[in-house]
Amino acid sequence: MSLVIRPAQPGEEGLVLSFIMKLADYEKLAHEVTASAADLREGLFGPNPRCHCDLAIWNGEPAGFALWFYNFSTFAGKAGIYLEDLFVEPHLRGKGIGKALLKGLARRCVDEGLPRLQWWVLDWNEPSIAVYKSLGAKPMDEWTVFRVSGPDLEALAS
Amino acid sequence: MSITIRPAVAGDGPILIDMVRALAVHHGFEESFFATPADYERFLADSHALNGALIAEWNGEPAGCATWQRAYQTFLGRETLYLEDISVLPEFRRRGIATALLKAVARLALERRAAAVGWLMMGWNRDARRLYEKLGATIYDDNCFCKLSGEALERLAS
Repeated sequence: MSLVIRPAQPGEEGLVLSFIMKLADYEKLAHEVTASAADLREGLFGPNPRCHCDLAIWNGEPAGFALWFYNFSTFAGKAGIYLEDLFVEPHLRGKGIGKALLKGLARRCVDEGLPRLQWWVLDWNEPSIAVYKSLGAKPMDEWTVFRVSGPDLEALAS
Repeated sequence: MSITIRPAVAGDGPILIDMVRALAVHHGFEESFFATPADYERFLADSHALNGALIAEWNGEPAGCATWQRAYQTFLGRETLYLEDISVLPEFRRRGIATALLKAVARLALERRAAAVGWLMMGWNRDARRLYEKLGATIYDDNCFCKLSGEALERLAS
């Protein structure tokens, strides 16, 4: 039994997209996915990459992924890591793969002197929230998330 | 009486930090505010920085700011903008400065071909919530925001 965590390579954007679709399906948000493999190739491996992806490989089989990017805390005056997506294949859950992906990011934060690792989770996702709490993460319950996009964004900009 | 919005540039670190600190104090986060003007000057001087800021001036006087950073939404496969802070100094409130800042952030997002602007708000901030709803933002009440930092971060990394 072996688990390897490694960065995704150019050419693996299709695999990353398949994980994103499975995650969206689990979150009941499949209808919101409009990304293409070409979009991800640009975002991950293009001339101006915006995000990074770690893959978890269990006995040679792609088992899950963590997609993340750097952000900046204006209060701390330092960069941090924002975890956009974390997913493990359902038949490979319970083997510590999600924890290994999170641990890899926590290690990167410590090695690079970044004081925080952040992410969002849907509040009905109790199994994940329980794991996150067991790892020492603090839920910031007093925050509300807002987003403006599409026609609303254009209206606001005008 | 006029509002002008301009990008923050090198040398604006001290002005900007005063306004962000005022926001931290207003939200009760004074004890977690460690940033120095030098921390801000580093990104203000870097044209490839992941983050930046806009400054609002009321008749030429600094009155508020918005700090932003590049983000990425995998479901869209596109870059988005994350609004980290929006601050209006107390003596300049109720003059439309926050609305002008949000409009400028929306314009910046469209210029950068970002698909959305997202941000967090403290749940108790009813006035801000009303303004954001009025400006077309969608509220995601079913999201829980998680953070790993300090000892918990080091423990997971070890």
